[in-house]
Amino acid sequence: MLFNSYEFIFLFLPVAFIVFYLIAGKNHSGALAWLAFVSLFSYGYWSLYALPILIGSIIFNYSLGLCLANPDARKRKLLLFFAITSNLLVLAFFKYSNFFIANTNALRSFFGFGTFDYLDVILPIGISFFTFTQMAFLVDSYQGKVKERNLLHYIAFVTFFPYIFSGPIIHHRQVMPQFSSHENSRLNVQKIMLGITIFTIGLSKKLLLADNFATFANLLFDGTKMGEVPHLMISWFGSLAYSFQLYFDFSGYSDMAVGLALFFGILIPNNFNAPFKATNIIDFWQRWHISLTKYIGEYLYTPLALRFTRLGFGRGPFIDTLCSLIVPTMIIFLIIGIWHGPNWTYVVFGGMHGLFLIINHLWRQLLPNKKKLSLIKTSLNWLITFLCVNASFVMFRSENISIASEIYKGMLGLNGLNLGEYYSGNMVKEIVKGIWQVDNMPKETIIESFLLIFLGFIVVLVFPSSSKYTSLEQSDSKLFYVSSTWGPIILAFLFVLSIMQLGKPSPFLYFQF
Amino acid sequence: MNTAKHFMITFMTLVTFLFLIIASLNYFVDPLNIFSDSDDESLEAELARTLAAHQNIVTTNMDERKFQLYRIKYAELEPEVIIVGASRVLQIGKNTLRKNSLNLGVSGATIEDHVALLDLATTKFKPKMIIIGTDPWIFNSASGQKRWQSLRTEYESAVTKLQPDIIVNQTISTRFYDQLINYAYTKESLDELYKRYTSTDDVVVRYVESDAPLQDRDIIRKDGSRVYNKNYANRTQEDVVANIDGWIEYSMSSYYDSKELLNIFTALLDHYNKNYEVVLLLSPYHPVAYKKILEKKQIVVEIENRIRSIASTRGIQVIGSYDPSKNNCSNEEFYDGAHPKDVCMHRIMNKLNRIN
Repeated sequence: MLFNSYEFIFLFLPVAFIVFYLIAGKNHSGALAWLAFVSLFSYGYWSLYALPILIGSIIFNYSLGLCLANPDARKRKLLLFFAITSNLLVLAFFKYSNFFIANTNALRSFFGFGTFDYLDVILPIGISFFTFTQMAFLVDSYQGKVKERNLLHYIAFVTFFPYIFSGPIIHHRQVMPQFSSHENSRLNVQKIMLGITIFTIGLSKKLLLADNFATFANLLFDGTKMGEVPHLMISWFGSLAYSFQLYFDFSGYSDMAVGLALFFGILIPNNFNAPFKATNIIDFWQRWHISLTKYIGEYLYTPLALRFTRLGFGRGPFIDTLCSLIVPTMIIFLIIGIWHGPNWTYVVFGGMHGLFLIINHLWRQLLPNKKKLSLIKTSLNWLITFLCVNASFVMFRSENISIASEIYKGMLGLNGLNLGEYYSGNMVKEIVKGIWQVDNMPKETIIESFLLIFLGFIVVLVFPSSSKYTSLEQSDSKLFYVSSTWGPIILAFLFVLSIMQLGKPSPFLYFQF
Repeated sequence: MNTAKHFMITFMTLVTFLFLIIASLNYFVDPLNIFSDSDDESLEAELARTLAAHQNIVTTNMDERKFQLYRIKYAELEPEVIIVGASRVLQIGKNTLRKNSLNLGVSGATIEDHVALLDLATTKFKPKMIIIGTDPWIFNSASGQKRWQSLRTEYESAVTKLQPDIIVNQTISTRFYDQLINYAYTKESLDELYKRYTSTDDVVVRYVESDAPLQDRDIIRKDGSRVYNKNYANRTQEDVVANIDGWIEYSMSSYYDSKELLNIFTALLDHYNKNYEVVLLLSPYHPVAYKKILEKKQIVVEIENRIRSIASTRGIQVIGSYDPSKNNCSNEEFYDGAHPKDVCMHRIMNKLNRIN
């Protein structure tokens, strides 16, 4: 069930909310059972086929988690290996089997062998997210870090509807103690206020911004896919439109998830913190898809980097840098890339960011700068960072590498300026007219696209991050939306305007991951 | 806590108030009669009933699409030929075609109108032939024509019959609760409200038994064909030529070739070509207009070629041409830059009359 649907906002959510607090007043466990039930219901409503897979995964991981938590159990390491491998195999089967077959077929064709048939596999929604959250539970159980082992709390943690479909990737230690706290199941007006605020911000990001950017981004990417040659202006405008679409879509979803969780007294960590304000790539990854970065950092990067650092220790600065920085960073970012889906474009996307990060780290090592940077230098850093991210998103959105290459050529001006068949002599006019490479596109639409991209920059650079509204401590008096008289008025208008857009089909981009 | 309570009260009150205002506007103005059970009391329904009972009616300010919807509902005819298209087909009727026909042409018709009206008409009537007036803006998603939305419910239901996997971009949702607080429907309601308060046209329903032209009002015959008023029909060629540029640009001032519209068009042909004789009609432009089209709007020629090619691969007959010289239509045989008179249309229709 989509968050941005009438059924969810006006039926599912009110019923889930009211019944939860009615039960919670008398029975905390009953309220959690209700929460688990409505979460499973919303998952099954979206994909009944995937529901048994989710339930099976919960039973498997919870049982093995209990075994791993028992320090007296025999062959715990082998058990952990079995559990993690099983999770990864299931994920790989659903997500990557046809990708594997396609690449094998390509190789076999090259050598003149026959090809394999593709499997009829449907990707269960949210499988990447619920698999990752549960693998962390397994590892922590093995390491003796899991304190909370209540089955009901575990089910509620894995299935909680605000994040099961598309994240953020939640760590059990962040929410399971909250599920067990009776305090959190009491109606808290302040949490509801914050929930409404952040949910509305997310909803309007998705429906008022992301969906409008999509129209213009599609002109570039779909047009190039159909064989059109993207010229300079459409390549830049279209790629900017997609960068904004992706950000507003995914961060809008994450905001809605945070807001919804607050309705039920649960505080989940924010997934974005104004990433387009980042002034270097390291900073960017501390602000973009934070839950994935933290997860990968804790469970993959740190152990991997430690191992490689030991390997390179004392073998000279080049080998040391290679082992402690270059190899682990590249491996991790290739994994982050392929995590997004079975396509080489995601691998290249990850590789690009791995490369950017390595350059960024090396730059810091070679030219350490402890002084505060001037405005010009900061702006330049921001621009370089933004351009790198924008270029990487072209690869992320393109269906294959050749489409992305065409767009890169367009961005570099190698495909021309598109001055039109009947050049009037006024270059600026012709360039503006030809931006979207649509014959005689109405003037209003061109102006609208300009204004929208300008608005995108204003929102990402000037407006405060919605993550500020998820902190109860900060929310009392300082923040505009919750403290000023105009705050709730503006939010009410944003909410109503967003609701008025609900009739259109509007899937979330990250649902495919 | 006071901040939170104040926030909640302000937010909830304002949201409720705004929803009530918008929902009331859409419910009571209801430009597309979605919430009203009194469809049949509309002006369009009354006009359609009057035409069913008499030979001709006098036109008035109405929603042509809704009128055709009720025409199909109330007309007790047995047409052998159904005609759909824009105003450029409105001369086809008893004077030009020697068959019982029903002309369902509407001004500025787009593919959506054809889809909706043909579905309604073939559900009620059993014609042998379908004539589709195919104008140059048929594949143009930037035509600016949005009037088809009066039939959007009918269109959305009909288009999925043509090709079940066709993706319909629903501009206005068909679900009851969606429309109460829907952006597109609210815009329609506001437009309708503005029209109601600014329109000064009388809405008296009049019928006439003779189809002799009136001075300043058009007549619609029982077969749906149109008799233009004398003021319009008797304009001099100087007047016609002076206003010709507007007709060249009509629905074509911006052009965006839409693959989606092309798919719907071919699906429409494939669907009806199975059980009916389908004929595509290319109504000619005024010779002066066509000369300018050749100079400035080559796309029109390309579209004619594309239509002929689509028809030829399906064995569908094409009659007429945007080029008036192909049917020997002279300057005097046009009401304006884009509307041929009976005599020109008769020459084109003769092809069908001869064959059958």
